[in-house]
Amino acid sequence: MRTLLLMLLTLGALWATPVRAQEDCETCYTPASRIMLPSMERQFSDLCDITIQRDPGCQGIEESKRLRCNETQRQNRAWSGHQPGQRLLSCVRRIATDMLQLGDMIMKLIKFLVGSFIRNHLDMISFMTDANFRAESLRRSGNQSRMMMAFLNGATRNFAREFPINYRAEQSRHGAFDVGGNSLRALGTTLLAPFLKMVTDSVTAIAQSQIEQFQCLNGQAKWDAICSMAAGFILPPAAIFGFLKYGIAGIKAVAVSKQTQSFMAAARSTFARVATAPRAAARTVTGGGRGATRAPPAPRPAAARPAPAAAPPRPREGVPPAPDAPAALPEGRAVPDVPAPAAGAPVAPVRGVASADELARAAALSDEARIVEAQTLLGRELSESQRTALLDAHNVGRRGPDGQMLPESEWRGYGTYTAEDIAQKARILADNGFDMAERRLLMDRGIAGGIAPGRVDADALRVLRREAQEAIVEAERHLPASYLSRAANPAELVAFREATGTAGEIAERAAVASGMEYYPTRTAWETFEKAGRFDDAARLRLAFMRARPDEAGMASGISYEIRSFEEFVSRNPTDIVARERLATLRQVDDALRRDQGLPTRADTERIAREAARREATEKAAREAAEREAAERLARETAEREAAEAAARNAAASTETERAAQAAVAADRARAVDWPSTANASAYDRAARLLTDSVRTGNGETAAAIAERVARLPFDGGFQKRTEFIRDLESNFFRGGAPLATDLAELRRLERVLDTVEPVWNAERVQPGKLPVLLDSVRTAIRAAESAP
Amino acid sequence: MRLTLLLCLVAIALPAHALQLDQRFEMREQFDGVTNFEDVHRELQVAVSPTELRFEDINPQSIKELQAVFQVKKEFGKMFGFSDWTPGRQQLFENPQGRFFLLEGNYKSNQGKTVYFLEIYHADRAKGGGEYLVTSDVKPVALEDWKKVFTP
Repeated sequence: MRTLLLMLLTLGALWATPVRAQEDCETCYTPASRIMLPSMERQFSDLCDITIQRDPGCQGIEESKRLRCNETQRQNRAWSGHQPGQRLLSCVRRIATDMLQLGDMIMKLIKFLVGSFIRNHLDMISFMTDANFRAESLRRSGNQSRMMMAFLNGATRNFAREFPINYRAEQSRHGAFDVGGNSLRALGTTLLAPFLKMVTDSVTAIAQSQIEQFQCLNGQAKWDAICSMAAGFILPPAAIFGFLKYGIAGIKAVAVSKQTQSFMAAARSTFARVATAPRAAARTVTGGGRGATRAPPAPRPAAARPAPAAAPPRPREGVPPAPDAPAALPEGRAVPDVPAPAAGAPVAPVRGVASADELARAAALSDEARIVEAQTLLGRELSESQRTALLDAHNVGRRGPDGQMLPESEWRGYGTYTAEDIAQKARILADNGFDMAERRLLMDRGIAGGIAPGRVDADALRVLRREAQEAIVEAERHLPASYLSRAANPAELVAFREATGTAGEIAERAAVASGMEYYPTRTAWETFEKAGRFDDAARLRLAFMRARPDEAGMASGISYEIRSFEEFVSRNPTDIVARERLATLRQVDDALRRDQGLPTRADTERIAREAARREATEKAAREAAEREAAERLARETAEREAAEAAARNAAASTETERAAQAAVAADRARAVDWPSTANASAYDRAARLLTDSVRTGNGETAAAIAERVARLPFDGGFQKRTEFIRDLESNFFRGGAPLATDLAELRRLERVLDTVEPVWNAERVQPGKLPVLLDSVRTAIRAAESAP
Repeated sequence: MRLTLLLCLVAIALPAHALQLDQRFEMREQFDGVTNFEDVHRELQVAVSPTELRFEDINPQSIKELQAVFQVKKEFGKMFGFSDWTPGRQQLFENPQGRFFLLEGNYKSNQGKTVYFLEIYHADRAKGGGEYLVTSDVKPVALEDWKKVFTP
């Protein structure tokens, strides 16, 4: 009895301070953790048998997995005889099924490492694998400037840039289904090994510190337990960094956080499944002392949550253990809330209350999807009235007392439903043939509920956004990889567009769940644009602008984007996608303008066009009128000036003409009848008048004399005309050619001859001299005219 | 009272200088504190994260100290999926939007491609700012390209 009491005291003390307890009670018994200490190497085989038999924790372990006392201590260690690299990769493949999740973890790791005193990548490997180095580097850290920290932290941006590229490359190499493996391999060969070792070291440390029976396992069983725990759960980063920084004490320090507690509980659960003995042995309990027994767990009610699977496909942090799960392991306080594995128990048909992200997903369901989801959940077809009732129940909290839909800002949802809302939902469902279990299920799973705007669950939103990103990445796999250097064929493009459209729908759910925040909504509309669903893109964009009219710069952003695309399209007129995107932007812009009672872009352009046209018309009319007026003025001025000039000219010409006529008349008046050669003085005077008039005068006197000669009657006149021509020949010609060279004189001479010629020709059978002289004069005139 | 009013006015005026990423950049994967963006048409990527840098942290002396740890980043690369990190030209300047430190260079990606980068560190007087990694694996990204990153 005394021994039993001592053992109990020892157990209690060990949990708080295990090492001190061992030192204080060396004689009581040696717990398994104690004999695995290096200092106990020599005593191992001696102590092992006793310990395994006495240690209450070890009694719960299946025999084949217990410490093997006939082997050395080294062989009973987890890493004994194993090459960790490849084995780790294969066993912790699911350590982060989500690329982004793993990326986040590494980002934290980089920042943590940067905060330490690390000089190169070998230091970093040492840091992650060597506790002494870690302690030293942490001691020396703390004197880096913020600029230096920012620069080194920049490695996170390099990582964020390269990691998705590496991930996609791994996907094409290893296929899309090896999700966890792809994301791990995307870390690169240098980081992968130390990272895996760090993870498994953390898990080992957690197991050692939190699960007493861990030390009761032999090497292989340890390995299996570590592998299961690491593979089945996402390690909370706080636990990893706590371990990195402070070792076991660090893990205990962070163990109080909710996330870490959840992980610990899940780890213990996994450990129990992997390592413990069959049920009969598991019921042996030490809570009241060794040998005491606990009542076997009660059969689980139908609504109880089943034990977590060994490696759930999408494990999550923060999932608390079911409150009603019975404790089944024998170590008392170490595993107070672990659900026992109920071998052979039927799978519970009801899944329990939904998590936040499941609620967010449920809230974003369309009416049709909601009915399908309900049918799947209940495992039966819903009647028409039940479908309507389901949707009515879903809309409770969204309608006012008058049955009309309330403004979105006044909706109630998960967490804000009143008791009356919930009662009303239950009543609607009950009235339409849903039994109590079904009602409970529909409400617990969020199918009959919704999210109140403004209540954004960050975790749920993150999950939805990741799903969208994954769907987007998955959609891109329908296109040929860039390294293939070929264009997508039509079938690939169709598949890509369809998958991207689906991704857009998921992204839209995230946008709705976020309360139409900018980035989730933008991701959704851009995804729709990629899918060629420009109407959906415009609808979302418009919904965002309407939901968040005060977002700074968004309106100007649209204008800027439109201008950018206009510029781009003008330079790349064959880019159909850009054209369609521009059309989307214009559509949104128009709708927003209409919302604000402003003219749309098209209206503005039309008004501007009309104004320009009107202005152009007015300008043209104005210019035409001005031109006409100017022309009229010019014409009138010209006419007036012309008239004045004409008047002036007319007056001038009249005077000149009168003077000329007077001069002509005077000259002609001087003409005389051609005298007979017998009257010498009269003949000389007449010959002089003729010569002067032709040579220096205006020829009028000579012409008048010639006219008088020509008018003489044949009798007497024939002789005088012969003497007149002979006189002209002797005075004005030499050798038949005229003496004069002056054109005017020649023209005057021609006029004289020309006046006499008709009569001369008429009264003579032979023409005689006159025509010859006249020809020679005319020849001379032509010659004078053609002379330069 | 006047001083309070003045400070309020300054506080209101300062965010007006906050830098906004050019609208042509489309959002890609988001990691803890870092968001990737891509401008498909200009074949540029930007990884953006908030900064703890203060205006006075970006100065000639801190930049000089920074150069001493370039070697560390060369070594970091091997851990995080790239290698041969090689710095090029650097520039420190100040404008009404705050202080900037720009660093151009290149590195080799795990895929064997040469990736050209431009790191931008920005801090304004209102404790705002950001850290940006502009990259392209098809064409060099020069110091002068920083203007392409932000909405003018």
